[in-house]
Amino acid sequence: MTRAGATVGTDASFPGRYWFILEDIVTQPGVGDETCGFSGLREVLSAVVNLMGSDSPNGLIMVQEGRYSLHRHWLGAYGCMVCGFPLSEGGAMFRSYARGLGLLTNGRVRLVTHGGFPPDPEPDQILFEGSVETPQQAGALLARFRKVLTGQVPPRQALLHQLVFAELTANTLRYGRHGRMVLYEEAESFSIMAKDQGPGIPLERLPSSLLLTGHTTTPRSLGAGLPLIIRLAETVTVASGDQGTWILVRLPPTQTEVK
Amino acid sequence: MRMEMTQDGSRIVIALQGDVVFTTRDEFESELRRIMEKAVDMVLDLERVDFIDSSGVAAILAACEDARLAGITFRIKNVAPDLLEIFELIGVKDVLPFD
Repeated sequence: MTRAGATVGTDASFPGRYWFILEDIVTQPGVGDETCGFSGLREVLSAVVNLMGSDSPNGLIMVQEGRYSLHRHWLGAYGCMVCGFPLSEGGAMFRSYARGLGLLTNGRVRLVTHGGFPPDPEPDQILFEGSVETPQQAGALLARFRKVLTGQVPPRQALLHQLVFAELTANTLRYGRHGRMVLYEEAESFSIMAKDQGPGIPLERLPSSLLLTGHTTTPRSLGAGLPLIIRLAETVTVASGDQGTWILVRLPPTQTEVK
Repeated sequence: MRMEMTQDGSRIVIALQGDVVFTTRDEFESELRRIMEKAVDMVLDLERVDFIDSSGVAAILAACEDARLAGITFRIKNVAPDLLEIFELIGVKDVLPFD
């Protein structure tokens, strides 16, 4: 990746140090080295800057189809550091993605296996739970969520919590199978657990699906749901694979600024 | 979600009420499309909207674009500050024609 510095370009709109995600890494035949094709660089940087703020650690995670590798080196004048290390298949790859997502989001996103997913809440913690298999069920859950939160948190925060719940419910309905949502309270904060038995999000798609607005497989969608959830949540724990997608969102305990 | 249509001269005002969300999007879009067939000047009134999610925002964005392509004047009015924040969080506040 030593050629990446030359291709970052002369965009002076992004001074300082940033994490960002790239796709479309191209291997130039005959060069014997990998170079980056930066498609949509401005859009990616803009998205990550908006998400992370200016005091984030710097770095770059690159996702390449077929050969997954994260590389670390300093890109000099642009103040961007490319982070990563060579991967093997299987567990090492997963651990690298998990580490990368955690680093990219200052620990806000935790990628785990289904076996490592937090346990279901205790029955006395549960405020409500329900299936998300039809739009009617989803609408009913949304109404219940609003009712539970009314009077429990300030109105503006309730609206933002509701946004998280709506986006998570929509995703579970749209992409999952036999989806189920649980709202519970723990240590003075609300948590939403969404589990489905759908196809899951492929590992290599997780960074863009979770962090970049505009990544969607659905027509007419803004692809804003998951990035919005992450932006508004305290933490987001994700397990996704053959067993479906499980997401646990811990909402901020008090009214805070959106990060 | 309910839609109430009134006409003021050549201007059609569509007042939305309730939640503009993923479960009501199809209904909203199909009704709006029907109204646009005969409109030249439209205003979307969001005063009585309780909540909107990214699907609702996408529907409004699509309506705005359809109006533009059809040569229909399109404005959005009476958006409460909390609701406007949702448009801003989704990143479309500056591209929509708010009054």
